[in-house]
Amino acid sequence: MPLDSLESFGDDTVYHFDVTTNRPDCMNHLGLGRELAVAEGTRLKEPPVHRDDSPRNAAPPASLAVEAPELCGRYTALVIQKVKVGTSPPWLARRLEAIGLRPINSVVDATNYVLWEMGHPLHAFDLDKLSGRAVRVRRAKSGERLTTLDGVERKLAPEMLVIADDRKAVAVAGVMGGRDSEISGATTEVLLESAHFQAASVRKTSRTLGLHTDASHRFERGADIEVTLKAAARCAALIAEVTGGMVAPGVLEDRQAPATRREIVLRPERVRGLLGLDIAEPVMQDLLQRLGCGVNRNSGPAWRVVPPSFRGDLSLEEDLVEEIARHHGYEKIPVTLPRVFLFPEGRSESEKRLDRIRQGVRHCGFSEALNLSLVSEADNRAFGDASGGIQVLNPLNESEDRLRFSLIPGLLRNLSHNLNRHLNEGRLFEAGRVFRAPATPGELPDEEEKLGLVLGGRFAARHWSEPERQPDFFDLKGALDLAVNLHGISQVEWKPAQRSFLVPGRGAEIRASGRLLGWAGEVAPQTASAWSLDCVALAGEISLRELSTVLPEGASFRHTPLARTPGVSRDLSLILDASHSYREVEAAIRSVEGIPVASIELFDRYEGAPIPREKIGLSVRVIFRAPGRTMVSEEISEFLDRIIHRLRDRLGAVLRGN
Amino acid sequence: MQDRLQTLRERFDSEISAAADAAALSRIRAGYLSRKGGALSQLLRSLKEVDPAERPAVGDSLNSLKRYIEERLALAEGSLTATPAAQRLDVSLPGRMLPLGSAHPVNQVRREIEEIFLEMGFSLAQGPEVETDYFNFVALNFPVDHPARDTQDTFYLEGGLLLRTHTSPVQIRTLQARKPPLKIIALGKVYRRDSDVSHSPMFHQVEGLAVAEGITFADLKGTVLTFARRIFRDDTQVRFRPSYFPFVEPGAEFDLSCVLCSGKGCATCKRSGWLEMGGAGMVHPEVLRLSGHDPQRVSGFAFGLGVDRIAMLKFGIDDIRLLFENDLRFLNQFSGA
Repeated sequence: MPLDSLESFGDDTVYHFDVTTNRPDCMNHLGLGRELAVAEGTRLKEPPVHRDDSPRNAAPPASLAVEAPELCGRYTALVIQKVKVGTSPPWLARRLEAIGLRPINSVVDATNYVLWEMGHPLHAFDLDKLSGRAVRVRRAKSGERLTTLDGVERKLAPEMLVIADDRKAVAVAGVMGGRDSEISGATTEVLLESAHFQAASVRKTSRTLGLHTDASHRFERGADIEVTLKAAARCAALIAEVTGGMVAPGVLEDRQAPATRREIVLRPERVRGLLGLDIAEPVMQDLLQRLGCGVNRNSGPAWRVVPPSFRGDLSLEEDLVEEIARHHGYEKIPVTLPRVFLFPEGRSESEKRLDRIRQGVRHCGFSEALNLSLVSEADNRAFGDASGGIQVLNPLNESEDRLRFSLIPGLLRNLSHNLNRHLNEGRLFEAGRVFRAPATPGELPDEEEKLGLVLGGRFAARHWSEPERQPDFFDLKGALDLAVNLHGISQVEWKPAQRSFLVPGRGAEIRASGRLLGWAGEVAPQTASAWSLDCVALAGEISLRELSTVLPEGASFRHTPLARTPGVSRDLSLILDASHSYREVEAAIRSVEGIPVASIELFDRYEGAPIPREKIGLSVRVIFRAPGRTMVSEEISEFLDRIIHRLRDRLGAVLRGN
Repeated sequence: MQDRLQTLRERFDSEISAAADAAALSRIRAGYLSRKGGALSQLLRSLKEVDPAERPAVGDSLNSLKRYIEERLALAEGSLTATPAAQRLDVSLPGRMLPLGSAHPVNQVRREIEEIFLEMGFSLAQGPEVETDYFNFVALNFPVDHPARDTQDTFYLEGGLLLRTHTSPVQIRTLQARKPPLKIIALGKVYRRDSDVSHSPMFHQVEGLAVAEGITFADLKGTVLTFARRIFRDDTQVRFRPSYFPFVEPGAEFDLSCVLCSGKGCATCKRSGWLEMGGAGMVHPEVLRLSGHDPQRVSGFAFGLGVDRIAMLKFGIDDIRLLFENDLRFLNQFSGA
């Protein structure tokens, strides 16, 4: 039971414990005392119970009917008469204040005191306010209403259990009492309830009403059904003591739940086997008995262990293994490694690809970012998800109430954050999952691994020997090409494409083997300014899943023998309409049949004088190489002629200077 | 004769290496090349004493030595006098390379963790970040309306789905798909409704699971200890404390001796000497049963710990939000790793 902290309160010390949800029996002083006694090997001194349950036969001055025994296994009540309700004596008030409770009046304080002492929730009714002096434990009626102690009118439903008199509900069972029957200065007769309510029902009711109380906290974790009378007796005596009243003879009691007697089979061999610890049987037996368990060893290697009623968490053999290990000490368990030898499967191909991409784009100057998967609806809509994205029903804030559809909104925020801190240029990438709503509701959404890149700023990163320039599309394209080429995909097609968030005419789709891998382009000014970016920004995103569909078959790769004959290179300076792309020039050259073009390389591109308007100049170097022989200059001239004709016919291109 | 040439060459080499200024060079020039008293001229004159048969070869050697001496002298004289400062390279100027981007610290640690467990024979497993209630809770022995669900601060989605609150659903997916013996780790993003200096609504966990015949709590301790020593330092200690998670029994939390102060007590470990690292335990029999395994035949251990926390400890980061702010001044500190 971990001690969380210590705090002094006057002359006293308040201990804060972190009690796990499975140990409601320790959420009180007595329970912690029990644990401590086991740990220290001493005996626990229990608080005095002044009254035994002898006057059982006397008729109590009230009636009881449990009408929903499935939700209330046991209901016990005592009546205290001739009470004078006032403030609690100082010792009582002080102890409550020490643990953070506000003293209310002597009766309520006594119930709270016993709750924190013994762990069992109690409730005190003003018996005069119970119509017919009747207690009925029933389900709420449809539409029934009750104003609880906190002054809120609650709408009840039939799945909720209530305490009622013969006319109406007076308390939400196990959660909170009603205001009409609360203890006041005028109260003279108290009906003290000590019941056992079903855990799941209390939890559900408490959640539906949004009402979490000390009582519901304990009931929903499981209370001890055997302790109701003892707790009632202890509390009734305390109420009598602090109010000058007297406990009326007779007990109201309805118990329909059977006696709890869980018997767990425990094999000492199993304890040793699960823990990997050689622990002697007498040690195990002693620990269990100190914990309050009955241990029967008569049936040979399998013991029969009966845990105490307050340990509702013990029901399996493994639960007892933990009890033994816990009190024997985890530190006494040896340290070994599993004797299981398996050949690990290692990194999957897609993870290896991702690792390679991470390395590659890092070497293009991009730093890796990690963003929340949670974005705003506007983020998703701005980057192509018309639905706004998968919604989080209980977001921390509105700007994080959707699952991201794209990596770019987050990356652009990062870019803006960095550029607004005086960086000239920022380059960031992220690899992570994006989410798309499933076709059928209730199915898992599609989670797709993507690579996103952004770059932008006032000046591109450059070497000192180069002139200053703005970052542009080709900085981004190079990195994306590299990310794809790293996997042996050399034929990447970049085609002009439009996206609402890209500058018209400055965006592209990226394809390979006909599959759409992603997009890239210059971020549109309105989008950039929505992200507080006041300079050029480029963004691109590719799908790693799509990429994996176009990978070349690893086994089919063969090297190309090196050419033994020298190539002949010729430069062509072309002038053509600006509407034509470089890709078309390349395609036109390659379309000329029967000429041995080994490679084509663009080495210059220019616009403006002396090139006419609407025209561009492209300079390409074509290398010819005929396998196994040396070409003669006549041949080369003929090749060039045919190329020039083809370029003129297809693209209207002319040679510069002609 | 050839020997004399060789000796002369060696003498010249040592003299020219030692020459510090133009005056020294001109003394060397006169000493070797002057028509009258130069050493080479004297050798040339003594050529006629050589056997006529050998004379052409010796002559070639002599000429070759003369060229060598002339070139080296010219080079040395040039470097001392002729090269203007502007023509010399400033070799301290930055070379032509792109600025190297960095790998995110969390992903660096992620790789390191994966490598350690791969070497320990664990395989890597993965699961979706959006999960069903069944995989995130029910199959992990958190029945509907279980109070332990309160501790998970779950983000809910429509259609009964949720963002996984831990990597533990991967345990279930693995147990459903594979037969023991198995040893896996699953590392990935998890989500909880929480945000402050030490909590981010998204963070990273690594989950370990080993299921086979005869797996013990002692094996769990050994595995966690081995990992802790590999990722931090060889003298790291691990402490297991009893705790409760519905999907393990016996359950534990574990602490590491503080990796900063070696357990002496510092601000990071709040003077306790220990750092809370994660949860662990023996796989609950109900979890094994729900996924179709017989808890009487096989047993297993499971553990989970925070990857971001490891990164923060390794790199001395004290605010988890720095990890997800993506400030390049922060990120680029990790480019060397």
